[in-house]
Amino acid sequence: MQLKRLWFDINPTAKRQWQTLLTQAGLMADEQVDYTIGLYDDDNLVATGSLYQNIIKCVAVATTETHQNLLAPLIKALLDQLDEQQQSQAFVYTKPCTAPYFEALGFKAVVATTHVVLLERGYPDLNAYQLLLDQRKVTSTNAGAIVMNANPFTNGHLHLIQTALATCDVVYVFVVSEDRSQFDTQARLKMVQQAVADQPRVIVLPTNHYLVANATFPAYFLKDQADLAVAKEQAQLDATLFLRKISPILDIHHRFVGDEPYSPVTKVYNDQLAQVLTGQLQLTVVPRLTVDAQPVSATKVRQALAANDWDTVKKLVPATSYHYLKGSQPHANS
Amino acid sequence: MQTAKTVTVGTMESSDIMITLKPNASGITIDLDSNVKKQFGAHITALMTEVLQKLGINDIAVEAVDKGALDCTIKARTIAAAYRLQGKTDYDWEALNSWNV
Repeated sequence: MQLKRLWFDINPTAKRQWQTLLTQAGLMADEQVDYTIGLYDDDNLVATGSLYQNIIKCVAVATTETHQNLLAPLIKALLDQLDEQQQSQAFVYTKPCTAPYFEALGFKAVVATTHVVLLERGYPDLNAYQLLLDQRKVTSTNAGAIVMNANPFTNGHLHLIQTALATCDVVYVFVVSEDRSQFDTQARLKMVQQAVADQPRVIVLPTNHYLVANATFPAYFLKDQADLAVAKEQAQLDATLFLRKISPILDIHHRFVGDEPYSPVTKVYNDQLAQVLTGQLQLTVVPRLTVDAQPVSATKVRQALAANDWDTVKKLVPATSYHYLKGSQPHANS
Repeated sequence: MQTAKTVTVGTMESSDIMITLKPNASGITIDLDSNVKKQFGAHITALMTEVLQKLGINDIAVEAVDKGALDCTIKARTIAAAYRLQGKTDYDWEALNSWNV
């Protein structure tokens, strides 16, 4: 039995074997992976696992080899690779029926829905995040929460925060920590902090992976599901995680989301959120702020930035963001 | 001793134990997952606590995935984890050997 890294670009045979193995295991071959390893018995690929950032995915063992506990060396090799990248935290999304295998390897369930379980291993873990939230907690009678990517922070985001402030005494703003946007996590956090610096009732917090992002949610194990059904599962998991593990710590009563009239995925997300939160948390969908009869969106700001159209940018973002963007010019495409 | 680092040693193979050390505000907490937990859980926990204390580590969270490791393995893995956590490679064999008397 030999452990090897699989290089799809230069080794089409390995890729075919990999796809066959995953299909036989009832998974879809999801190619959104950074690193893939395989266990070979002679020339046969008998087990495989992959990493995408710090998410373990596409794990399969050939049905003929399941008696050998190949999962242990496979997961160990993936954890070693993460260790090498200084990543001490790993996540797995899987079906409830396979969760016990991962739990036997030291993974802990973070949250579960009927079809999906999210497990984690390492440190900082959910406990550490909850501790961080608890330290930032402010006494409130009707606290609200908003989750945003703020890529970059616009007047639309500010409008959402102000709407929340009108009904809530404290508003927690969670800025998505996943680093996969044009502006990095630090820049996005900074823009939000600057915009609400004069507002003591607003607390800005990171999400530290405990917000199940659509972009990182690996849906390959939910076979035979259309994109929207997948979005539904992701939304349900995310909403459950928020409801069970985050909102009780901060005593949140109210969640606000921005309306997204053009995106069916966001509509599915908002519907699921409403369904999960029913009776426990109030959900308010805030209509988009419009400027010149056009809804304000971060996409539009990014387009204007790319075109060096500072007049448009000025109209769409608060002064703090404008100064920040002018000062850093991270889009410099010269 | 307090540290922000986390280390993992060992494997998840049969007869081995995988030990992860994480920071902890105060005291030694051990989260043991073992297929012989019912029979030897208390013994394994006590053994790891003893080794850590002898090495002067009193505030740590331990996560252990045991696959039926023997005492010598548990001891060795715990020592290795503790040394690696402190970034030390100069094992004090004299002191370690003296425990066995």
